[in-house]
Amino acid sequence: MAHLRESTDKALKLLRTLPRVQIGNLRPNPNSKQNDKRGRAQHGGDKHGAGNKGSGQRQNFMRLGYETGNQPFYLRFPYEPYYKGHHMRREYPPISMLQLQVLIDTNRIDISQPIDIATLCNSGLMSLKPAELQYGFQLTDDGLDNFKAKINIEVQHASEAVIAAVERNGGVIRTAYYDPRSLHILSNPKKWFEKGLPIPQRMLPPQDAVEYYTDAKNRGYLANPEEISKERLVLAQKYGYELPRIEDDANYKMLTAAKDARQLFHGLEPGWLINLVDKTIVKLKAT
Amino acid sequence: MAGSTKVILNIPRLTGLKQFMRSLHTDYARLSSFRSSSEVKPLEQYPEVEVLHNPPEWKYVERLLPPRTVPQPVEKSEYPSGWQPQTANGEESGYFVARTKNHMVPVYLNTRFRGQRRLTIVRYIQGDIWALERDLRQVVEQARNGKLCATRVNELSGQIHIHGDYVDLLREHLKSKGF
Amino acid sequence: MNIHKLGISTGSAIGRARYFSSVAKPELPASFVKDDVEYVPERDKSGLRQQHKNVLHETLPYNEAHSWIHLTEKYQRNMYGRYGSKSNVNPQICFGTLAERTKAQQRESITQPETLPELLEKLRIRKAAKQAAINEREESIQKKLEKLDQWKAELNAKVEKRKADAAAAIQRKERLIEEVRRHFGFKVDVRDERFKEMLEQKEKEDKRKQKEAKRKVKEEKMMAKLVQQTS
Repeated sequence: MAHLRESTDKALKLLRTLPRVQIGNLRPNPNSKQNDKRGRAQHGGDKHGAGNKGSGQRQNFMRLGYETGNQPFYLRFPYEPYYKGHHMRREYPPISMLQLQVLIDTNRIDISQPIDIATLCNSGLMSLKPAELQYGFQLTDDGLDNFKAKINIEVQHASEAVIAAVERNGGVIRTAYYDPRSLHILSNPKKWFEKGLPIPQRMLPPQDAVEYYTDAKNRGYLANPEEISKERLVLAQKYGYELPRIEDDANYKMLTAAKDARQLFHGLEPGWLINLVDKTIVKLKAT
Repeated sequence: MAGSTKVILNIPRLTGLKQFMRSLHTDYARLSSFRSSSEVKPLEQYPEVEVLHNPPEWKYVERLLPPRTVPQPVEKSEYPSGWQPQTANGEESGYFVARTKNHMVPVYLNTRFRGQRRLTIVRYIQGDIWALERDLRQVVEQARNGKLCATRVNELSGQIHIHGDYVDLLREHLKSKGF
Repeated sequence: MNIHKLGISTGSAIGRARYFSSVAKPELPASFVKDDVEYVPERDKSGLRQQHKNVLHETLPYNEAHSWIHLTEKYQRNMYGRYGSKSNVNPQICFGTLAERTKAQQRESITQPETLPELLEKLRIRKAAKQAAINEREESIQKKLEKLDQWKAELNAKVEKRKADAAAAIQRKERLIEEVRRHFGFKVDVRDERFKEMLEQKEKEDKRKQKEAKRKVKEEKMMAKLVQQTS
């Protein structure tokens, strides 16, 4: 690339001196055209690459993998469980702390309200595909050193360092489980409300997820709140920051707003039918 | 079309084959088609409801609705992520690099030839694109310790392609220029 | 296209430069058609069906049922969701009949049979079982470690004994050969027949002596015991 300009000048000089482009002056690039002629007749055809006699010329080939009688390699090992249980493995698409900070800086997310899957999907920059076994978002530690925002965020998985980064800035982070149906609803609430169905209730996590969501270390939504406060202190001591007092904060109510284990949306209970056109909520009459 | 009044068209009750076909589609968890849905029954079978107009909980519903356009950024004293709003308007330099609709600096990385060729692309360029090309080339050549760099300018679409991965470098450079 | 003109300073050397930003305006997107001018078409040449026109004007597409689909709960729910009270659908039907609700409850009891305390109990049991297995293995290892020194000593003793026996046998052989040699008086080849015969004799004598010695030792022991018992 160093001689790009020189070669351009050379090319232009050539153009000035060479004759007009005509069919007789042109030639394709070397090795760009291959002879399409099929092998037919004495010298063009002959054996057609099949050799002399034998199973090769008689086109009697063995199947791929056959090893002339002994146990072939691909049949030697009976059990290869590469995809065992792959249909049960849950995926959590990542959101880095840097991405979250950019969303906050560019005002795509309103941090004066609690952040959950619905908020993130409504920003238009994140999408969730529950049909592909994506069970929510996880917060990754990329960019957590420069994270400076006081938020109430609810994700589906977060590592210890991420939890520390959020709590260091005076925020609240929780991990919560949503079953696939709830995820479909949360990833596009407007579409759901246009279906005309009442809000269903959230299901409990499966057996293998219960441990994670009942652990205070992960700030699980099913964990004991007292243990969570204890763990907050432990983490502050571990990472060496002063634990901010949320009780003294002006936004205390917003920061401590949490959903019930069976609730999908903040402030709206299961069993309510929302109508966006009429701006009504239809509730079952209590009998 | 009310739920309880009888329909004008006389549709006969499901019989025989139709009933069988309908029953094939009533697996709730898998299918949510019109066939799996039952007909509307007389109103007495449904529970009593009350319709609340403009209830106090409506603010929670409005929070769940997405905005129709990309919101404008708010002016703040500092942006910890490194994002900066656009301050230049192209008078000083003679060229203007517009922001994307998501307010980001339009510098991208393209890879070709199975990842072996990396191209840095700057888009949304208006004005004197050749002056910008000279500036960017100088920045990149400085980063390469004087080695020349290859660029491609497309005046019509307002793009500059640069061989190599200098996305972070050029993004910071454009931000420092105020674009 | 959303157009947002920037401030243009007069007297720029390049000339009038107008730069366009691709950022959206806060208001809704602009249209090419002017809204204030009232457009009254002579005739409707769109070719659209009535139901499609209704949808474009955000009203109910069908006012009467044209198909079995329009009589299903799902369709009417959708109409209610999209058009609200204009759909003339009673929101009661969106909640499902009692039969459907009981069926749904039964389904849920099969798919999600366990309550949270039950799940936690199962988890606790599984964890306890795992921990118990670990503890058991560690205990057994600990017990074996205590006996390790003893086993080492035993093994070493066994090896030593085997070596000692082998050495003793070799020594005995050498001794007998030496005796035979002394008996003959002159150097005889070991493999000689006479030598071998003598060797055998000597071995037998040696064995007899050893047996007698053993017997003596046993007798003395017995005597010592008897003496102890009587005294």
